[in-house]
Amino acid sequence: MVRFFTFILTALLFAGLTYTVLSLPQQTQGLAQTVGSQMQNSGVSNPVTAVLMNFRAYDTLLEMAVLFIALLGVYSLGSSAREAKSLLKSPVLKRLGGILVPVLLLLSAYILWIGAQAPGGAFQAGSILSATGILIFLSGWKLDLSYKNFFVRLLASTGLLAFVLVSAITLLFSDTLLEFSATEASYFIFILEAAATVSIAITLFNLFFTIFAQPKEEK
Amino acid sequence: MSTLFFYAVAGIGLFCTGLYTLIVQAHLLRKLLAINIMGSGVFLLLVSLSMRTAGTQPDPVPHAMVITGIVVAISATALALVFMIKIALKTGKAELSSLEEK
Repeated sequence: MVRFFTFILTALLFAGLTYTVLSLPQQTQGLAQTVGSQMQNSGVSNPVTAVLMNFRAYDTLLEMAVLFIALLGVYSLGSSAREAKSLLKSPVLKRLGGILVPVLLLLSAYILWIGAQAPGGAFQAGSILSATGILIFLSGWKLDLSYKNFFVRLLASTGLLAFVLVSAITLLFSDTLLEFSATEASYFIFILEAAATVSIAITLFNLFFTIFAQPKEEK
Repeated sequence: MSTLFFYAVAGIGLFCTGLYTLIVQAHLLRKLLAINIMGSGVFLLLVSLSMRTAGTQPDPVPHAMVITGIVVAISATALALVFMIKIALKTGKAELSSLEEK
């Protein structure tokens, strides 16, 4: 009965939303022209990166905060009982990891660098880097990337710290938060993206790691 | 009627499927997957509607919103998974209905 009513209501919602979307104008400029006219002041030539790191950098600052808070939440709920060990005892994975990890590091750096001109940037590079971390973990290397390590915690907070510092600097020199002048924008954006990449990589890896490392039973 | 509206309607379909599943299914992992499917529907809708520009460049602002959304969705999913594991460890099953009966 509940299912039936839910189905009816969801179908009504689907119909309403579809009608709304189909009655939108077929062609609209949106904000593409506004962004396009300001591109030469943004310090990068990829419009999505310009929106993320310059025009709407405040959103990205809060996004780094969301990532950081999620990591804190997972960290405070996660077990500190025992070290997680990779459950895969595969010699193939060990050898393959040795070959793949340098390639993945290079790929991640390339994606970070190309983000200024083409699709790519901090989040894509960060996810590749976190996948590299997961590969290292599964290969059973003796490399501690868990947040029990103080240095790793520092790396995980780099993104947010860099954003807050740059916000403070821009507040001092101009009166608005995260507003870059056209000349120095590219340097600021690169610093922020590099810091964000490291931070995203460590955070995503640790989100995976904590869930993976849950002990089988708790007292 | 251009093809991008087909993608937009597909996005709405994903959203509604996820919403129905979220309400109907009791198991928390299914609820979590349903929330993720809803999110994917929203992303598909945003990306397809940003293609309505007459020129070659799509509107970059929805794209930036989507990439922000993906990161937030991943964080929320990870946190919810940890909550779910904790509930499963405490109550023995990954559902909330047992708490309501008491």
